[in-house]
Amino acid sequence: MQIRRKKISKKRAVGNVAITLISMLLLLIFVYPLVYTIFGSLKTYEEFISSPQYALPVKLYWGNYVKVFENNFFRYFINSFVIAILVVVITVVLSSMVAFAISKLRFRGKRQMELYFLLGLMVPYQVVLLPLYLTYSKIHLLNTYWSLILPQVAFGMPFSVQLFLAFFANFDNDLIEAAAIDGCGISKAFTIIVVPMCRNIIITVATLRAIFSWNEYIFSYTFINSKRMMTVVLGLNSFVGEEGLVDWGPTFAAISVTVIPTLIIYMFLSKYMQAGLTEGAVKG
Amino acid sequence: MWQSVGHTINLSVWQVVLQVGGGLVLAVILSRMVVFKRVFQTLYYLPVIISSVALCQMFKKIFAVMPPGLFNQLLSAIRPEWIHLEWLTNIKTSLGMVIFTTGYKNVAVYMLIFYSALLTVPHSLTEAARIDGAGSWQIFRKITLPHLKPAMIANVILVMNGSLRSYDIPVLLTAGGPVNTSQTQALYMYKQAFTSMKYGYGSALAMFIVFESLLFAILIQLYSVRSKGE
Repeated sequence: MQIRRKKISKKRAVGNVAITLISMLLLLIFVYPLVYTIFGSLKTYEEFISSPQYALPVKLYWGNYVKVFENNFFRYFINSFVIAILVVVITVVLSSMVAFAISKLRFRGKRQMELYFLLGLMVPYQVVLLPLYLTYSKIHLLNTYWSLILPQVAFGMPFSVQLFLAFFANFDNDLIEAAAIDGCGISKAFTIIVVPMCRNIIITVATLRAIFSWNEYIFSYTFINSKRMMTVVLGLNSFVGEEGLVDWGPTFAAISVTVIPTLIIYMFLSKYMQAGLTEGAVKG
Repeated sequence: MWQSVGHTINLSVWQVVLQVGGGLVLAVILSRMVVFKRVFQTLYYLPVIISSVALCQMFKKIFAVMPPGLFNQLLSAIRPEWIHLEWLTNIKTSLGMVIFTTGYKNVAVYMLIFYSALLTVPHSLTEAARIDGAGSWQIFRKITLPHLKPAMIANVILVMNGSLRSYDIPVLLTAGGPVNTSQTQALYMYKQAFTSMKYGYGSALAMFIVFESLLFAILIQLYSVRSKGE
């Protein structure tokens, strides 16, 4: 018995070492490209030619970042921020109210409404690209913030409503009922009682939407062609096309600049994001 | 057109292998990890939050030939002439690179879903099996996998749906080239609609993609219902 236990614990120890090694290797694969990019953004052109790619920068060279911000990047940042903030606010307000109504109020067509939002998950963006483009060009909405905000909100709604619905399913009705008995109206109960208790789910939906909006490519590529209205993602692409082909430093700097805001959000709120993604996927 | 549909199906099948299979493997590794689980989980997830534009620009540089990128420089340590290998501009590898990049970007999503499903496998069951003398592999096959089945089906549907309409990574990484070897149906649809201005044909292609996605979702559902009955 003694020997057997020893054998098992030895086997387990070997297994643990193997797992640790594999996980380190995976870490390298998933994180190194980004680290390499950030290091690369701090190298001069000469360093790229003379030393191997994986070498660390000899000393920190910020010229690449200067080049990036001399380009239009400041403007791209403002565009992306405005769009992301509006998308987040509108999506959170609308989807929380829709989900609250569906799960707590009684009205006709409630079930149909839930299905309607569930169906939204199935709609691929390809179907709406052409009609939206043609409509926008008729009503002069191309190259505006709204041309991106509207489809992003629409495509974000189904998933956000699902998340809020899952949250409200476990929401205690007693508080709302007590408020109703005390003569509190539905809208007042919603803003005063329900919203403060939704803090976590609101953060989850908001971070998810913010990151998706920041990274969104196909709508902006289709609806925006003036340089002034480009988002960072589009700006990055056009910047690389113009200057990045020979000199890699500025390209890496531009990539880093566009990725850093999402990294910061993710660093602080990854817990909420991951919760939202697993929840939504298992349900949907 | 059928060529791009073929590429898309090829890509989607590979995505199921890479993202669902890879995600499952990653989740199991994650669940076996002893220390810093949370840190690893958070870091594996990084490629998901990076925009596909940034990721593709990174990969374009890493797999570059002129001047030699990171990957080829590492390869040249094994064999000096490998420094000239082409990846993104090679007819034979372009679709493979698109497949790899798409899988790389998304695998962590399915890792997370499998991981949270793994946590729901009752500990008492695996413990009982272990006492009865079942090996780790047996426990995994007979107890863990059946528990993961709902998550598995959901994941396959999600991956199929995502891959059938994949546009970003093909267009950004290889622009569908060289000579259309990595063109997907969504890319073909986009080119027809917006570059050639064939609005009607483009819309028809878009509807084709919708019905194709629906068809696959229904087929997977049917298959899962049938195998449950057996």
